[in-house]
Amino acid sequence: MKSILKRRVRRRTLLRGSGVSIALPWLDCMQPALAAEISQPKRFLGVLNYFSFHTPLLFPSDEGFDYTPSPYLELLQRHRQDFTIISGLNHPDVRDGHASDKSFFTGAAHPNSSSFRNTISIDQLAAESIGHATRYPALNFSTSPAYSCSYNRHGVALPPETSPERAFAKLFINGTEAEIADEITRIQEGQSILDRIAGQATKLRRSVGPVDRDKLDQYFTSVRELEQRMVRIEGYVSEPKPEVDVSVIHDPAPGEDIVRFGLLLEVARLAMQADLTRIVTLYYVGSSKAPSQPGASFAYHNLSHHGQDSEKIEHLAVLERDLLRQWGGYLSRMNETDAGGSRLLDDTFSVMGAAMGNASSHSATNLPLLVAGGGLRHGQHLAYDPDDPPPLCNLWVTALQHMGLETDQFGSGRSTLS
Amino acid sequence: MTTRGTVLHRSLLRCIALSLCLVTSALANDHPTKLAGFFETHCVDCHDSDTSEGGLDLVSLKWSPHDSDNFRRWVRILDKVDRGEMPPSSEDRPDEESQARFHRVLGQRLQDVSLDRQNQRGRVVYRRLNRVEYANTLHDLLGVDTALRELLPADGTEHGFDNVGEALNLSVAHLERYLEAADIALREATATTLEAPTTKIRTDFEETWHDYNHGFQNSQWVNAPDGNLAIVSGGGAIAHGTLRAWTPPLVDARYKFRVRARAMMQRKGKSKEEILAHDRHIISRVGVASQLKDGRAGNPAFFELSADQYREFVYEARVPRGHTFSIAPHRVIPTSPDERGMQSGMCVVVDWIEIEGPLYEGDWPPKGHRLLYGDLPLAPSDPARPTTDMRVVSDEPVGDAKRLLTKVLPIIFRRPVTDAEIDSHLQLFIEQLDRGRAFDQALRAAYKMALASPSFLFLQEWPGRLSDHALAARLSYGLWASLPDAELNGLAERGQLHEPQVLRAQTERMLRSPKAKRFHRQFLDSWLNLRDIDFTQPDLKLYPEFDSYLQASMVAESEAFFAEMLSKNLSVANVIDSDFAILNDRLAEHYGLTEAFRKTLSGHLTDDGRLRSEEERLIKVPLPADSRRGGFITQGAVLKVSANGTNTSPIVRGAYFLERILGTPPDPPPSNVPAVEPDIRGATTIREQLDKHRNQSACAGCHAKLDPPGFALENYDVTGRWRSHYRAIPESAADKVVKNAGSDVRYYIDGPSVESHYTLADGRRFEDIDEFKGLMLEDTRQLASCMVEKLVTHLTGATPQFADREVIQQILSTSEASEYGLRDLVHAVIQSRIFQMK
Repeated sequence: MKSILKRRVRRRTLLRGSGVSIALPWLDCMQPALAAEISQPKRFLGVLNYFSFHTPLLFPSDEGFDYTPSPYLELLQRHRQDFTIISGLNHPDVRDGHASDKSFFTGAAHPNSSSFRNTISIDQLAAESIGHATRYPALNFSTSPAYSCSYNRHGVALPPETSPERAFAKLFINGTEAEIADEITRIQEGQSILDRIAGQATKLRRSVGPVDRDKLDQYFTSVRELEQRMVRIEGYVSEPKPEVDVSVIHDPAPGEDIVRFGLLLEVARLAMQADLTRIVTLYYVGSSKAPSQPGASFAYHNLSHHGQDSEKIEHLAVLERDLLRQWGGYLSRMNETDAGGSRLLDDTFSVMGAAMGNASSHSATNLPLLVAGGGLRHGQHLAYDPDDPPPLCNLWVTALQHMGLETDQFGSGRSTLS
Repeated sequence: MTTRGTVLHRSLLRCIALSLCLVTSALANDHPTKLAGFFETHCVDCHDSDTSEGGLDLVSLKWSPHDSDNFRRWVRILDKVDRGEMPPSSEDRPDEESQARFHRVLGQRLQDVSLDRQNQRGRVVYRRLNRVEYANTLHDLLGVDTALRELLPADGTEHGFDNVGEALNLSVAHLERYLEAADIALREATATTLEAPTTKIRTDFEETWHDYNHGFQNSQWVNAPDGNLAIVSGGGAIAHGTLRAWTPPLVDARYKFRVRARAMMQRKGKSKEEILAHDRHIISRVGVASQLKDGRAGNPAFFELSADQYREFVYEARVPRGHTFSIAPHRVIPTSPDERGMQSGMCVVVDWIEIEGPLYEGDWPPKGHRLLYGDLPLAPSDPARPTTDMRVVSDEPVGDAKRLLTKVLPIIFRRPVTDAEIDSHLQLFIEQLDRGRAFDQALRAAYKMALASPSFLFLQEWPGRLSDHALAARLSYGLWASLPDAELNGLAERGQLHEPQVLRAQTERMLRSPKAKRFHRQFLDSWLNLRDIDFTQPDLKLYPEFDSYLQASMVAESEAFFAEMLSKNLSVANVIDSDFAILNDRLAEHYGLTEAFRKTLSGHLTDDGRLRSEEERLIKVPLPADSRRGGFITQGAVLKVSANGTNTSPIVRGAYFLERILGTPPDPPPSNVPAVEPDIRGATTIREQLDKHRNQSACAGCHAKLDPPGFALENYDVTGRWRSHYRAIPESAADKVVKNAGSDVRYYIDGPSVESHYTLADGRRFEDIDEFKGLMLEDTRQLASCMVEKLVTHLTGATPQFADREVIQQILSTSEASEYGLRDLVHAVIQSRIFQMK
């Protein structure tokens, strides 16, 4: 075991020595690089806010570069030149209230219909192309284990990580030698198991009908994917994890969802800074229990269904301002983080949005979107006509192109956002 | 007599006939000509390529029933004509004979295609175990208690059911978690000591109060007169009886807590602490809470304590990492209707707590270990710790492994296994041994492989009649949400399970088993969507009476009601209305049935006025005539889950009712309908807001069916309480407020009055919920039909298909005499072709 550890080339040393960030395939048996080699890695961070924002307080009443900041946007004015507020967009054929969230990052139509099958989400699509370059192809976070915003090619929702403490430990805290040895054994055992059950699945596949075969194919694909993952992980396991300034992160108390959101954002930023991943999604789901925050005495779900009650809207605004402050904090830190000569902020396409434009009426049009970075020109309110906007997926096409994918189609999007 | 004229006439006729044929064959497109005639006469005026009303163009619609979308469209056409919805009443209606012929011809075609498909491929798509089934299986197989379910991703649903093969997908994330879960379960089932590491200690709150209270000593604790510590409630939701000084010696295991405690009521009177009311009973809330902060206690149970006497009660639960035992006063049992339940000054006085655990069923080593390793001995693996950390050892590793795998694999795979299958697992075992792993590690690797195999994760069902083993699995996952037990397996092995009498006897046995509670729970979660009971929290300003004890009671009520319907074979009509309800004190209070409850309760008490057992907390209460309760549809859980926590919507409730109670789900709304924005300032009622669409013909089609049940239920608010007026938030505090006696003032005013009268789509009118129920009960066959469809979905893992209709009609006809008793319906489904074929 020891000899294997010593023999491995220390990838990080190689990179540090060369002074340039290059995406190197680690082992020969890995998937060939699909995206063109780019000198500066590009990143994506997508945040979905389940209960949306009270848009009268978010959208400026005027548009363009000289927009007057709305009450919420006052909080972000020191970043004014670095972000864009977008209004008016929606996903065509997605008018399904709460269920619209399934289609936020995919653009698939009619998410509430009983025969709905989702399509791949933007982060997973990007991961297929550029995910091989980092230890983790993508990271999916959420403040609630029951809610995920990322979907694989089969339309299956990917279970998210909800604990910032656990995520941080997994990414940055090194295991002991015994733990590492254990893990290698476990991985090799897993590989043996997968190999054999793949054989079983193949045999089984021949004896079932076409509809059943679909399910077995899902199983089979999962086995193969997991095998590949294990090969990659095996390569990384004996490597020391990257060092960061923070030494530990603790989980907040249950119910402190905005704090949890902020911590997950921070873990995401650290992961991108250390190039552990270049793709992150984060789902903020307001707790359905009343939080212990001063000034807000109702649960988020309750408040977002304010039914025009002004007191509730006030309480809601307290929560939403807090959320936006976390976002502002993220922008600040991204601004200060250096990524090989430029700001991490510029290299990352960051977006925070919602799948409902008005959570009180469950309308899924006129969606709020805050975009930062991505090499775009910011500082304006891009107001699209809510009755006839381009598809929201055009924004995702823009994001995919930023990450180096040569495509002008995604979901219902047929070009970049103009 | 032929004349030239007639000959001409005949050839002219022939021309016309020919051209007619041409016209009809343009329609035909493989349609049987009888259909073409019908369409020509009654349909194509509105449904041709130029005017395709409702999106239906019968001229270009192909007959390709093997495409499932096309098939669905044809079924829709059949159903609409059968129901008389098409042609619309404004047009000429087809005569009886044409209609009957249409039904026969189209119906037969569809039946042939559907039945053929079922015979070739089966109804059920290759069905994976869902999380609940997976966790139960490992629990029953290995005796492990770890929260495996929480480890697995959420399951997809179809019409609310989370065990439908078609909707259950599998991704790499699932597979990863399955491997992890199997690993955890196998390790937990493995004994590492010669004796059960169960300990029993007796403790109390002294150390917790002293060392772990973070400075909250005084406001949350007080000394009772006899010197014991009392946990004080401030009247709010969070109290402080978390036993921080104790951590479980083994995490994620089950522990038994025996507690000796009593109640105390403390009010600050003129002297600093006057203790009053020796006869008050309070409900204490017992659960497992996080060590970190005062959070809510999970897995709560409620125990009644009296102020004059200590009592002992037992609470068992799994204690996860970072958690511990917790007890707190929850509410008083009010002595008068004006009194509120949550009051400040409630206390729980704890004398001692005895903690026993980790708990294991039966002998040591536990059954899971004995299943995996047989009688193989344990030997020390670490000389420094000879009695803990032991390992199973073997003198003949390969021989022993083969023997064990031969015995265990058929149980895991729920069927006989081939030599080749045993061998492939044995090969893995040998390979791991060769890599230097210990015997038990290598063996667990082989078991892990089995538990990640498709033969375990999926139900093995092949088209046609199910084998006895497949039947056993379908039966036990349907009624126990877990793998078959030894008796079922034995019958399957002897090929007897499919015999009608045997199948019936087994169904009876399984329904009587305590494991059937899982069926009750899973079925209600899916059928009535109780799975989402926690999705919303009622606005505490508008609904201050709501608390978690009420919610827990509501769910228990619905489960008990279902169990009663099953056990007494009550008619499905009881879904709409019943002459009884199953209540505890809290529900009785909520429903305004305290008197009826007390009357019945007196028959359940011991001589000194206490309930005989905790189980008896929920009792069957005959309902007075004016109770406004009865049936499932007026139960709190149903009413809560069909509302959104702030307000009710007749449309949401109407859709819920149509889908789940009548089995006639509405069409989805058109995409250009703007959402209704609720107005809880009380300015306009929902009836006023919805008026607009009721009066538009484009909307009326669906809303004529949707709105009536929704409005009938409008008298029940989001917590299920009866209301004659809507509650609203006042514009200013100066507006009229209503106080709650004994508690803080809550702000709500009585808004506009609720009107629940309405007219059904067929024109019959009802004044209120009672009249509505009367109208619904006129068609119990429809209720039974819906129930049978839901039972079919749950018990087979696939929603009903076209060819199932005739079987379902048969089931309904034979159960009519017994008024569609629920137990009879369950038996009938299991005895039917639908259940016994893939």
